[in-house]
Amino acid sequence: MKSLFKARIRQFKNTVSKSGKRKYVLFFLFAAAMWGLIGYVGFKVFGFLYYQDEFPMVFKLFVSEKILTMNFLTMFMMLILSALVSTLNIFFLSRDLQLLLSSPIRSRTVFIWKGLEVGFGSAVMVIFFSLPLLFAYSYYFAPGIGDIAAMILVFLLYIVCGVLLGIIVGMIIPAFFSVKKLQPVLSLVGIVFISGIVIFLRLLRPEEFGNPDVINNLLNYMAGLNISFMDYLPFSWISKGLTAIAEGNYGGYWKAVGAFGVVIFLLTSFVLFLQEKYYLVLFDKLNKGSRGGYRSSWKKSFFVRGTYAPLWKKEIKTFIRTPAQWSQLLIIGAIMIVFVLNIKGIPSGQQSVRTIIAFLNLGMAAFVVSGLNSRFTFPAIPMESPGIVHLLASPFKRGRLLHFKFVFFVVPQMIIGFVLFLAGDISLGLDAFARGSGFVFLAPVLPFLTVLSLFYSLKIRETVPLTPNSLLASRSGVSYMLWSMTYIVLGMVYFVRPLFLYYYNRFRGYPVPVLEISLWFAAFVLLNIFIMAVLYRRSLSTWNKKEFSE
Amino acid sequence: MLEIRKLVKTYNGRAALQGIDLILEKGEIYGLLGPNGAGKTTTLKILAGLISPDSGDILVNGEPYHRDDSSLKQKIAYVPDQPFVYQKLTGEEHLHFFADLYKIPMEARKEKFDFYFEYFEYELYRRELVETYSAGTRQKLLISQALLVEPEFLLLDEPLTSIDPLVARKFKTLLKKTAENGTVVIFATHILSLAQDVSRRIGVIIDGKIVTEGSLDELLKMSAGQNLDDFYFNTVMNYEKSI
Repeated sequence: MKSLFKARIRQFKNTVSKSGKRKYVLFFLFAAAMWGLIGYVGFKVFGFLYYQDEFPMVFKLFVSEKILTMNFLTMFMMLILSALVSTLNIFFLSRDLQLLLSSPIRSRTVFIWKGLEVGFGSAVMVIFFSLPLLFAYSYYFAPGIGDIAAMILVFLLYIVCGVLLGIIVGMIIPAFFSVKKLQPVLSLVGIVFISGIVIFLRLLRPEEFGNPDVINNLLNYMAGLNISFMDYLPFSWISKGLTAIAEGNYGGYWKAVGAFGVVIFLLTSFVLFLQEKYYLVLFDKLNKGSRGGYRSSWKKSFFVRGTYAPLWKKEIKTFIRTPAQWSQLLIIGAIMIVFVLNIKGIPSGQQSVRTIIAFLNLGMAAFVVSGLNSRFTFPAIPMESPGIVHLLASPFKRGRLLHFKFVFFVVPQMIIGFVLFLAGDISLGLDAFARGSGFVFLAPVLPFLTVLSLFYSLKIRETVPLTPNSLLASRSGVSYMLWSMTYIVLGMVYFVRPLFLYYYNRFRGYPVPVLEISLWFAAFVLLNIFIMAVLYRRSLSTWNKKEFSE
Repeated sequence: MLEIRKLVKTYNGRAALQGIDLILEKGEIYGLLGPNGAGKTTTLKILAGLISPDSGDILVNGEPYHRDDSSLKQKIAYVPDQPFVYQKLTGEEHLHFFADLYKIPMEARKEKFDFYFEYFEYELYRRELVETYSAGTRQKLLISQALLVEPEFLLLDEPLTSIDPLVARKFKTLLKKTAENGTVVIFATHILSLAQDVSRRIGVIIDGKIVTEGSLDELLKMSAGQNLDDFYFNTVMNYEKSI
């Protein structure tokens, strides 16, 4: 185990020294910005609750607990799903496994080591997104050093619990299903988890938390939001544990820790049992791969013809046959569904409030598409390697590959962006101007994001196979994420002016300055088209000069 | 005919090719031997259009070669030194993909596919995902892919990597037949027996320069009756002593 750990540390050090410090500075800045944003929201929400003098502390902690449960519920499902996918990749398909399992290291040691890799890999995002929220909660409700230590302990137990559950599901699925059926089964499991998030979130009724009309009787209100069966679920234990810390109720805290301890003990025992009985058998099964039965068709299609037809066919077949792509799409799908449902749940208030929400929804749609680009478009060309060698040695013109990648990703992403925006807007019942201006905003912004991600992805030099995660953590990946977010925020700031001109004048009963608003919109579209064209030309030039010498 | 004149390529200040000159006639098989890092793969990658030379000319049938000239690249097929494949396609789909890129009509494919899957003895894997293939089977797929397009110029980088002796022999036979039909073949290898068995000419490349070349007989004459193995060893050692 010590040798494996040393090898991992050495690899990390070599990567850091090879990559240079600038990349890590950029990455740190990006992480700090994300933390700042989440922390700001957390401090606002918990601060607002904390300073509501008319409500007793017990009520404030109750509402905080519900908010925390929403976060921990979503994160717990993500954790399990992520650990499940990582289990299949790291326990069974890692490139170093053949070497490790043929070495004198015991298979249990290898298994535990890989388990730690799964745990770290799946937990890192959950820890990253939850910590600012925990800081904010701790700041208002549990600021003591002992309180913080207690919070960290219960949070770690929550993480371990989720990871172990993910590992168990990840080991059971290949035990019962053939390799060929893994993909549909994983998709189904993903859908179950998504449905779980949506159902649980609806049961929590977040829209009621801040609705003053129903808070006429605190006890009734609290009783109405209590769901007894959630007490048996780990994401509820951590919220209860945190509430107990804030209340100074150490009995309640240790009860939550005890529940985690027992479950972790049972889950660990079960994981070790699975390892002992099935790990090597499953390793053989998954590495043997699936045999036969693929529809090896490559026919002329009515829809895909011409020069680009082979690329369409290849991409679609590859996408359908890659479960990792599906599972991540499902996670994104879950976020979108939760987002739209929550917008629907917002109480219908004043038109101005709904307009502001719709405006934020516009930015949200752009952020989702930016996320899709970072996951799918950005790695598309670097991940095409090393197969790209054949493509470039063939008569297929280089530039066409870039055109294809652009079209392949921009079309579905524009559809997703517009659906997200329209779903939110229809739910909010907005006027034609708000909807029209949304189109003016998204029409150039969505393709711009795809062009931007291609532009940065072509700056990646490596042609050896890489993972999407390692690509995103590269200097180009971090630059793309920073610039895409800056661009969306700047775009939204730009749009404040024409929206203000319209709504202010309408509210005041003055004539709406149609010409001025139109000029703002036209300038936005033209400026975007211009920058997009410049970026695309530069991408094309970089691509045509790119050498594959590795 | 393929003509290479004064080809130079530098990577980060290190000269990979230092003025390679080579003329390959129609139907010729040319074997490139040399130590690791000598410039064999770089030469083939330049010919395949994966990298550009810093200077020098390449003429294909008298026409200047540019790496994005699809009409010239239609005549070239390339097998890289590593079995790079699209993992999520089946072997048959992989061949279809390249047949599409080289615009081979659909109706002409089945017979060719049947032949290569049979000839190289991997029919059993035809409808399996390439990710399940062994290294040798992947190599067979790449060789099939290159031969399928019936190129005028065939570039092979370590073609026999992981290939079993039976299929290796079949490959050599097919390679000779392909050359007889007019294809120019240039390959890089560390397997001296391949160069010995199929090449009309053999070149030894060291430090980006072809230090010696000739037919097998000519080379063996130079080595005073030694075999190719001894000749190659002595050539490399003598070169290293001379610098």
